[in-house]
Amino acid sequence: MLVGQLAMALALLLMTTTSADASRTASRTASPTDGYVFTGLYCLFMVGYSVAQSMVFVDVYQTFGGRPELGLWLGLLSSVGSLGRMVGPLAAVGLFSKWGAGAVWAANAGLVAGGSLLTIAMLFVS
Amino acid sequence: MSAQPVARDDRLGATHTQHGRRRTRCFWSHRKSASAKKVLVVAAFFAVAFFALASLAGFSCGCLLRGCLPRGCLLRARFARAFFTVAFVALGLVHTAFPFVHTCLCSDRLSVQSAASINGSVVRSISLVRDDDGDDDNSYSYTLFGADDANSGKFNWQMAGYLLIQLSLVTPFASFESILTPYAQGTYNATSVEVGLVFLAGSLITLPGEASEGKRGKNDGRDPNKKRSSNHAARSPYLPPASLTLASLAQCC
Repeated sequence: MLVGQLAMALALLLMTTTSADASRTASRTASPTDGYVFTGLYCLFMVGYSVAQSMVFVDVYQTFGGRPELGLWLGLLSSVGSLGRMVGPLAAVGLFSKWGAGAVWAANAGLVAGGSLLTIAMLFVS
Repeated sequence: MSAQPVARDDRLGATHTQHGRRRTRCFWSHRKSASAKKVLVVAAFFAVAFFALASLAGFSCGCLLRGCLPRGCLLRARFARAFFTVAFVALGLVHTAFPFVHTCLCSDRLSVQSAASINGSVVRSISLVRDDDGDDDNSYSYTLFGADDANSGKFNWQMAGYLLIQLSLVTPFASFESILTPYAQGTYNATSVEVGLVFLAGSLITLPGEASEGKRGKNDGRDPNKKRSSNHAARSPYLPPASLTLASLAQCC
């Protein structure tokens, strides 16, 4: 899970850098190479997301497997995911319209980094 | 099988101490009567469904009324905005509440099926301990959820951590997807086909990751009951790769 989170954070940080470069050279037409770099970073983000997302459910099963309240925890986990899918686009559109894409990537990178720190803390506690 | 466990209470205590399993109880405890739980679940489900249907009906009526109003009318814009907001919030609530209601219904059914108790303690698992001395006195080993659990009713911080991690994963994913199209079109002058190809690449590349995680969960060899975790991992509700790939293909076309 931690590996996936770090991959996501790395991809988002690199996107922040590339979008800052793009905003500095706003007049220049973006080359196809930039598009390929962005696609590669997007793929890295998606790989990290899929790995981390799968491992959250696996970890919850391994931690709470067999307990009567497992269904409640899984339901809450899914509901929190749905909440994130509601909040994420709203916040992203607000940030994107006000400060551009770099702010969105940076905010997401901070969020994922916070999640990574929480994962590390939980590893130490458990 | 039901008489033997009661006759071996000393063994139960030993097993319980050995495993040290503690049960964190919540309002959704299995000790609550099954009928009360069912009423709560069904009431929540129908409340959510009714709200969603009512808001969708309102949205449809708003669209119809908006069509009757002349162009440029201020009321027309307000109708559209208000009903779109209501429908968005209602659909979001349904999206948020439905997994909770659904899994609670499933867990209710499962807990009713597996609700075995011995002297007031709930059995977590039962396994047969074979005795090879030939006198046919095989015994059973139990793992119990302790009825005298000190953590009973307390908040589970570990689960709260998992919830926050889940939020920190899904929120960036959703925000990323929402601005990917305008960002790619604005910055790289990408056509809709190219944006669809980017989505396709991102969905395709998750297939090996999902498969490897499922395989890892299946072969961890820790507990046969954990097999379900690998299956669930491969069916992660937020990233079904096949459906995402199909959606990307559809966007490309």
